[in-house]
Amino acid sequence: MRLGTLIGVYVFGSVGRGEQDDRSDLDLLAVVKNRTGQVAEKEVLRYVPPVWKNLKSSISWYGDERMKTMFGNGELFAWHLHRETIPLYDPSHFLKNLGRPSEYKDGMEDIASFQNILRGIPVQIALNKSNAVYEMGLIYVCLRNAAMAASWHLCKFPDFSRYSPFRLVGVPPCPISVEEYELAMACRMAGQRGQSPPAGVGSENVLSLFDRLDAWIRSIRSSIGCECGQQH
Amino acid sequence: VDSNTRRTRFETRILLEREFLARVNNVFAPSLSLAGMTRDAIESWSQRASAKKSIKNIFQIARLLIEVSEKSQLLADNSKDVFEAGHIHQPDSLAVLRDLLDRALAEVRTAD
Repeated sequence: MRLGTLIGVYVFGSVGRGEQDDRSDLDLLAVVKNRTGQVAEKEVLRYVPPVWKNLKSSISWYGDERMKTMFGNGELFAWHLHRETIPLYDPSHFLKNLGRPSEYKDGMEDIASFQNILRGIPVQIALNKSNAVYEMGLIYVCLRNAAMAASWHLCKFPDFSRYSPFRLVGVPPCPISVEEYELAMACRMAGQRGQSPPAGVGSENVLSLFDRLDAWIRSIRSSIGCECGQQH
Repeated sequence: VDSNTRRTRFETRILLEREFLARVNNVFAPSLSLAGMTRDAIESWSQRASAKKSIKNIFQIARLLIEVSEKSQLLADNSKDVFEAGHIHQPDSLAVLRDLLDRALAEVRTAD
Protein backbone atom coordinates (compact mmCIF):
# COMPACT_ATOMS: atom_id res chain seq x y z
CA MET A 1 0.00 0.00 0.00
CA ARG A 2 1.35 3.43 -0.91
CA LEU A 3 1.71 5.74 2.08
CA GLY A 4 -0.69 8.64 1.84
CA THR A 5 -0.63 12.17 3.15
CA LEU A 6 -2.19 12.65 6.55
CA ILE A 7 -4.20 15.87 6.93
CA GLY A 8 -5.85 15.37 10.31
CA VAL A 9 -6.67 12.96 13.14
CA TYR A 10 -9.77 13.43 15.30
CA VAL A 11 -11.70 11.62 18.02
CA PHE A 12 -15.44 11.27 17.57
CA GLY A 13 -18.16 8.93 18.92
CA SER A 14 -18.85 8.46 22.61
CA VAL A 15 -15.38 9.66 23.67
CA GLY A 16 -15.66 12.76 21.51
CA ARG A 17 -19.07 13.37 23.07
CA GLY A 18 -17.69 13.01 26.60
CA GLU A 19 -19.86 9.93 27.25
CA GLN A 20 -17.14 7.32 27.56
CA ASP A 21 -18.20 4.13 29.34
CA ASP A 22 -17.09 0.51 29.51
CA ARG A 23 -18.60 -0.16 26.08
CA SER A 24 -16.67 2.66 24.43
CA ASP A 25 -13.94 2.19 21.94
CA LEU A 26 -11.89 5.05 20.54
CA ASP A 27 -13.40 6.18 17.24
CA LEU A 28 -10.73 7.94 15.24
CA LEU A 29 -11.25 9.87 12.04
CA ALA A 30 -8.17 9.99 9.80
CA VAL A 31 -8.38 12.43 6.91
CA VAL A 32 -5.89 11.89 4.10
CA LYS A 33 -5.28 13.67 0.84
CA ASN A 34 -7.57 12.24 -1.81
CA ARG A 35 -6.53 9.04 -3.53
CA THR A 36 -3.09 8.87 -1.96
CA GLY A 37 -3.96 5.83 0.16
CA GLN A 38 -3.89 5.34 3.90
CA VAL A 39 -0.91 6.02 6.13
CA ALA A 40 0.45 3.41 8.55
CA GLU A 41 -1.92 3.03 11.52
CA LYS A 42 0.89 3.82 13.96
CA GLU A 43 1.16 7.25 12.32
CA VAL A 44 -2.43 7.91 13.38
CA LEU A 45 -2.20 6.24 16.79
CA ARG A 46 0.85 8.28 17.83
CA TYR A 47 -1.46 11.26 18.33
CA VAL A 48 -3.67 9.44 20.86
CA PRO A 49 -3.02 10.87 24.33
CA PRO A 50 -2.11 8.46 27.16
CA VAL A 51 -5.53 8.78 28.81
CA TRP A 52 -7.14 6.95 25.85
CA LYS A 53 -4.31 4.56 25.00
CA ASN A 54 -6.06 1.69 26.82
CA LEU A 55 -9.15 1.93 24.60
CA LYS A 56 -9.47 -0.21 21.52
CA SER A 57 -9.16 2.11 18.57
CA SER A 58 -11.16 2.04 15.35
CA ILE A 59 -9.97 4.22 12.48
CA SER A 60 -12.33 5.60 9.82
CA TRP A 61 -10.42 6.78 6.75
CA TYR A 62 -11.74 9.66 4.67
CA GLY A 63 -10.32 11.53 1.72
CA ASP A 64 -10.32 15.33 2.03
CA GLU A 65 -12.58 15.79 -0.99
CA ARG A 66 -15.17 13.41 0.41
CA MET A 67 -15.14 15.38 3.66
CA LYS A 68 -15.77 18.62 1.80
CA THR A 69 -18.61 17.03 -0.15
CA MET A 70 -20.11 15.59 3.03
CA PHE A 71 -20.15 19.01 4.71
CA GLY A 72 -21.49 20.62 1.55
CA ASN A 73 -24.27 18.05 1.30
CA GLY A 74 -25.16 18.54 4.97
CA GLU A 75 -24.90 14.80 5.67
CA LEU A 76 -25.71 13.70 9.19
CA PHE A 77 -22.20 12.37 9.77
CA ALA A 78 -20.84 15.83 8.94
CA TRP A 79 -23.05 17.25 11.70
CA HIS A 80 -21.83 14.55 14.05
CA LEU A 81 -18.24 15.57 13.34
CA HIS A 82 -19.04 19.27 13.52
CA ARG A 83 -20.61 18.94 16.96
CA GLU A 84 -18.71 16.18 18.70
CA THR A 85 -15.14 15.95 17.48
CA ILE A 86 -11.88 16.45 19.32
CA PRO A 87 -8.87 17.26 17.12
CA LEU A 88 -5.70 15.31 17.93
CA TYR A 89 -3.66 16.40 14.93
CA ASP A 90 -4.91 19.18 12.70
CA PRO A 91 -2.05 21.49 11.69
CA SER A 92 -4.00 23.12 8.85
CA HIS A 93 -7.24 23.44 10.88
CA PHE A 94 -8.86 21.35 8.17
CA LEU A 95 -12.04 20.46 10.02
CA LYS A 96 -12.55 23.94 11.42
CA ASN A 97 -12.05 25.45 7.98
CA LEU A 98 -14.83 23.27 6.59
CA GLY A 99 -17.12 25.41 8.70
CA ARG A 100 -20.71 24.62 9.53
CA PRO A 101 -22.26 21.83 7.43
CA SER A 102 -25.20 22.69 5.20
CA GLU A 103 -28.63 21.98 6.62
CA TYR A 104 -29.46 18.29 6.92
CA LYS A 105 -32.25 17.63 4.46
CA ASP A 106 -32.12 13.89 3.94
CA GLY A 107 -33.82 12.83 7.17
CA MET A 108 -36.90 11.31 5.61
CA GLU A 109 -34.90 9.45 2.94
CA ASP A 110 -32.29 8.24 5.44
CA ILE A 111 -34.96 6.93 7.82
CA ALA A 112 -36.73 5.26 4.91
CA SER A 113 -33.47 3.58 3.92
CA PHE A 114 -32.93 2.21 7.43
CA GLN A 115 -36.54 1.07 7.57
CA ASN A 116 -36.02 -0.65 4.24
CA ILE A 117 -33.04 -2.55 5.64
CA LEU A 118 -35.10 -3.40 8.72
CA ARG A 119 -37.92 -4.71 6.56
CA GLY A 120 -35.52 -7.10 4.89
CA ILE A 121 -34.88 -8.85 8.19
CA PRO A 122 -37.89 -11.24 8.31
CA VAL A 123 -37.07 -12.56 4.85
CA GLN A 124 -33.42 -12.95 5.78
CA ILE A 125 -34.32 -14.77 8.98
CA ALA A 126 -36.59 -17.11 7.02
CA LEU A 127 -33.75 -17.85 4.62
CA ASN A 128 -30.92 -18.03 7.17
CA LYS A 129 -31.90 -18.56 10.77
CA SER A 130 -28.20 -19.07 11.45
CA ASN A 131 -27.56 -15.33 10.88
CA ALA A 132 -29.77 -14.32 13.83
CA VAL A 133 -26.97 -12.54 15.72
CA TYR A 134 -26.05 -10.48 12.67
CA GLU A 135 -29.68 -9.55 11.98
CA MET A 136 -30.17 -8.61 15.64
CA GLY A 137 -27.15 -6.33 15.32
CA LEU A 138 -28.70 -4.75 12.25
CA ILE A 139 -31.79 -3.91 14.29
CA TYR A 140 -29.53 -1.85 16.56
CA VAL A 141 -27.89 -0.12 13.58
CA CYS A 142 -31.19 0.71 11.90
CA LEU A 143 -32.94 1.82 15.06
CA ARG A 144 -30.12 4.01 16.29
CA ASN A 145 -29.45 5.62 12.93
CA ALA A 146 -33.13 6.23 12.22
CA ALA A 147 -33.44 7.86 15.65
CA MET A 148 -30.36 10.04 15.07
CA ALA A 149 -31.83 11.22 11.78
CA ALA A 150 -35.22 11.81 13.41
CA SER A 151 -33.65 13.75 16.29
CA TRP A 152 -32.73 16.49 13.83
CA HIS A 153 -36.42 17.25 13.44
CA LEU A 154 -37.83 16.18 16.79
CA CYS A 155 -35.27 17.32 19.37
CA LYS A 156 -33.70 20.65 20.21
CA PHE A 157 -30.31 19.39 19.06
CA PRO A 158 -29.43 16.36 16.93
CA ASP A 159 -28.81 13.43 19.28
CA PHE A 160 -25.95 11.15 18.27
CA SER A 161 -25.83 9.26 21.55
CA ARG A 162 -26.09 5.50 21.81
CA TYR A 163 -29.54 5.77 23.41
CA SER A 164 -31.01 8.25 20.92
CA PRO A 165 -34.11 6.04 20.25
CA PHE A 166 -35.19 6.61 23.85
CA ARG A 167 -34.77 10.38 23.75
CA LEU A 168 -37.01 11.41 20.88
CA VAL A 169 -39.64 14.02 21.67
CA GLY A 170 -43.19 14.19 20.36
CA VAL A 171 -43.47 10.56 19.27
CA PRO A 172 -44.65 7.45 21.17
CA PRO A 173 -41.95 5.89 23.40
CA CYS A 174 -39.62 3.39 21.80
CA PRO A 175 -41.56 0.09 21.95
CA ILE A 176 -38.66 -2.08 23.07
CA SER A 177 -36.99 -2.11 26.46
CA VAL A 178 -33.52 -0.78 27.16
CA GLU A 179 -32.50 -4.38 27.94
CA GLU A 180 -33.69 -5.57 24.53
CA TYR A 181 -31.92 -2.64 22.89
CA GLU A 182 -28.71 -3.46 24.75
CA LEU A 183 -28.97 -7.08 23.62
CA ALA A 184 -29.17 -5.87 20.00
CA MET A 185 -26.22 -3.57 20.71
CA ALA A 186 -24.21 -6.48 22.09
CA CYS A 187 -24.93 -8.43 18.89
CA ARG A 188 -23.66 -5.53 16.80
CA MET A 189 -20.53 -5.22 18.92
CA ALA A 190 -19.93 -8.96 18.50
CA GLY A 191 -20.19 -8.49 14.76
CA GLN A 192 -17.99 -5.39 14.66
CA ARG A 193 -15.47 -5.78 17.44
CA GLY A 194 -15.23 -9.55 17.74
CA GLN A 195 -16.66 -9.85 21.24
CA SER A 196 -18.33 -13.18 21.99
CA PRO A 197 -21.92 -13.18 20.72
CA PRO A 198 -24.55 -13.00 23.50
CA ALA A 199 -26.04 -16.37 24.37
CA GLY A 200 -29.58 -17.31 23.46
CA VAL A 201 -30.21 -14.95 20.55
CA GLY A 202 -32.49 -16.69 18.09
CA SER A 203 -34.74 -15.87 15.19
CA GLU A 204 -37.76 -15.45 17.48
CA ASN A 205 -36.00 -12.63 19.40
CA VAL A 206 -35.18 -10.86 16.17
CA LEU A 207 -38.70 -11.12 14.77
CA SER A 208 -40.25 -9.99 18.04
CA LEU A 209 -38.26 -6.75 17.97
CA PHE A 210 -38.90 -6.21 14.29
CA ASP A 211 -42.67 -6.54 14.73
CA ARG A 212 -42.72 -3.74 17.29
CA LEU A 213 -40.21 -1.41 15.64
CA ASP A 214 -41.55 -1.27 12.12
CA ALA A 215 -44.79 0.46 13.13
CA TRP A 216 -42.90 2.80 15.46
CA ILE A 217 -40.52 3.98 12.76
CA ARG A 218 -43.51 4.50 10.50
CA SER A 219 -45.01 6.78 13.14
CA ILE A 220 -41.73 8.71 13.37
CA ARG A 221 -41.78 9.29 9.63
CA SER A 222 -45.33 10.61 9.92
CA SER A 223 -44.33 12.99 12.72
CA ILE A 224 -41.35 14.30 10.81
CA GLY A 225 -43.59 14.99 7.86
CA CYS A 226 -45.20 17.65 10.07
CA GLU A 227 -41.99 18.95 11.61
CA CYS A 228 -39.73 19.59 8.61
CA GLY A 229 -37.97 22.91 8.47
CA GLN A 230 -36.72 23.06 12.06
CA GLN A 231 -33.27 24.73 12.17
CA HIS A 232 -30.21 23.92 14.29
CA VAL B 1 -21.16 10.91 -3.97
CA ASP B 2 -24.81 11.89 -3.68
CA SER B 3 -27.04 10.76 -0.83
CA ASN B 4 -28.81 8.09 -2.87
CA THR B 5 -25.47 6.53 -3.82
CA ARG B 6 -24.37 6.59 -0.19
CA ARG B 7 -27.51 4.80 0.97
CA THR B 8 -27.35 2.28 -1.86
CA ARG B 9 -23.72 1.43 -1.10
CA PHE B 10 -24.55 0.78 2.54
CA GLU B 11 -27.47 -1.48 1.60
CA THR B 12 -25.28 -3.32 -0.95
CA ARG B 13 -22.61 -3.88 1.67
CA ILE B 14 -25.18 -5.42 4.02
CA LEU B 15 -26.39 -7.78 1.30
CA LEU B 16 -22.82 -8.88 0.68
CA GLU B 17 -22.14 -9.44 4.37
CA ARG B 18 -25.37 -11.44 4.73
CA GLU B 19 -24.46 -13.64 1.80
CA PHE B 20 -21.02 -14.60 3.12
CA LEU B 21 -22.19 -14.96 6.71
CA ALA B 22 -24.90 -17.37 5.56
CA ARG B 23 -22.32 -19.49 3.73
CA VAL B 24 -20.23 -19.81 6.88
CA ASN B 25 -23.06 -20.11 9.39
CA ASN B 26 -24.84 -22.81 7.40
CA VAL B 27 -21.82 -24.93 8.26
CA PHE B 28 -20.84 -23.68 11.71
CA ALA B 29 -23.98 -22.34 13.47
CA PRO B 30 -25.38 -22.41 16.05
CA SER B 31 -22.46 -23.39 18.26
CA LEU B 32 -19.87 -21.40 16.30
CA SER B 33 -21.79 -18.58 14.65
CA LEU B 34 -19.87 -15.86 12.89
CA ALA B 35 -21.47 -12.59 14.03
CA GLY B 36 -20.08 -10.14 11.51
CA MET B 37 -17.71 -9.54 8.64
CA THR B 38 -15.08 -7.29 10.20
CA ARG B 39 -11.50 -8.44 10.67
CA ASP B 40 -11.96 -8.42 14.46
CA ALA B 41 -15.11 -10.56 14.28
CA ILE B 42 -13.54 -13.03 11.86
CA GLU B 43 -10.33 -13.40 13.87
CA SER B 44 -12.27 -13.85 17.10
CA TRP B 45 -14.50 -16.46 15.42
CA SER B 46 -11.55 -18.40 14.02
CA GLN B 47 -9.93 -18.52 17.47
CA ARG B 48 -13.16 -19.83 19.01
CA ALA B 49 -13.67 -22.31 16.19
CA SER B 50 -10.15 -23.68 16.30
CA ALA B 51 -10.38 -24.10 20.08
CA LYS B 52 -13.62 -26.08 19.83
CA LYS B 53 -13.21 -28.06 16.65
CA SER B 54 -10.29 -29.70 14.98
CA ILE B 55 -10.71 -28.15 11.55
CA LYS B 56 -7.54 -28.02 9.60
CA ASN B 57 -8.55 -25.28 7.18
CA ILE B 58 -10.20 -22.88 9.65
CA PHE B 59 -7.49 -20.27 9.22
CA GLN B 60 -7.70 -20.57 5.45
CA ILE B 61 -11.43 -19.86 5.72
CA ALA B 62 -10.73 -16.91 8.01
CA ARG B 63 -8.17 -15.53 5.57
CA LEU B 64 -10.67 -15.69 2.70
CA LEU B 65 -13.33 -14.00 4.83
CA ILE B 66 -10.94 -11.19 5.75
CA GLU B 67 -10.30 -10.60 2.06
CA VAL B 68 -14.05 -10.40 1.47
CA SER B 69 -14.32 -8.05 4.45
CA GLU B 70 -11.72 -5.70 2.99
CA LYS B 71 -13.54 -5.62 -0.32
CA SER B 72 -16.90 -5.01 1.31
CA GLN B 73 -15.39 -2.10 3.27
CA LEU B 74 -14.42 -0.56 -0.04
CA LEU B 75 -18.09 -0.49 -0.89
CA ALA B 76 -18.51 2.03 1.90
CA ASP B 77 -18.74 5.52 0.50
CA ASN B 78 -15.77 7.02 2.31
CA SER B 79 -13.15 4.50 1.22
CA LYS B 80 -13.28 5.13 -2.49
CA ASP B 81 -11.73 8.55 -2.15
CA VAL B 82 -8.89 7.34 0.03
CA PHE B 83 -7.26 5.01 -2.45
CA GLU B 84 -5.66 5.51 -5.81
CA ALA B 85 -7.89 4.28 -8.63
CA GLY B 86 -5.68 1.21 -9.17
CA HIS B 87 -6.12 0.11 -5.57
CA ILE B 88 -9.90 -0.18 -5.78
CA HIS B 89 -10.82 -3.83 -6.08
CA GLN B 90 -12.86 -5.03 -8.98
CA PRO B 91 -16.22 -6.68 -8.24
CA ASP B 92 -15.35 -9.88 -10.13
CA SER B 93 -12.60 -10.64 -7.62
CA LEU B 94 -15.41 -11.45 -5.18
CA ALA B 95 -16.53 -14.30 -7.41
CA VAL B 96 -13.11 -15.90 -7.06
CA LEU B 97 -13.24 -15.59 -3.27
CA ARG B 98 -16.78 -16.98 -3.22
CA ASP B 99 -15.60 -20.04 -5.12
CA LEU B 100 -12.55 -20.60 -2.92
CA LEU B 101 -14.65 -20.21 0.23
CA ASP B 102 -17.27 -22.69 -0.98
CA ARG B 103 -14.54 -25.25 -1.64
CA ALA B 104 -13.01 -24.72 1.80
CA LEU B 105 -16.42 -25.03 3.48
CA ALA B 106 -17.16 -28.20 1.49
CA GLU B 107 -14.00 -29.70 3.00
CA VAL B 108 -15.34 -28.96 6.49
CA ARG B 109 -18.69 -30.59 5.63
CA THR B 110 -16.87 -33.66 4.30
CA ALA B 111 -14.72 -33.89 7.42
CA ASP B 112 -17.85 -33.75 9.63
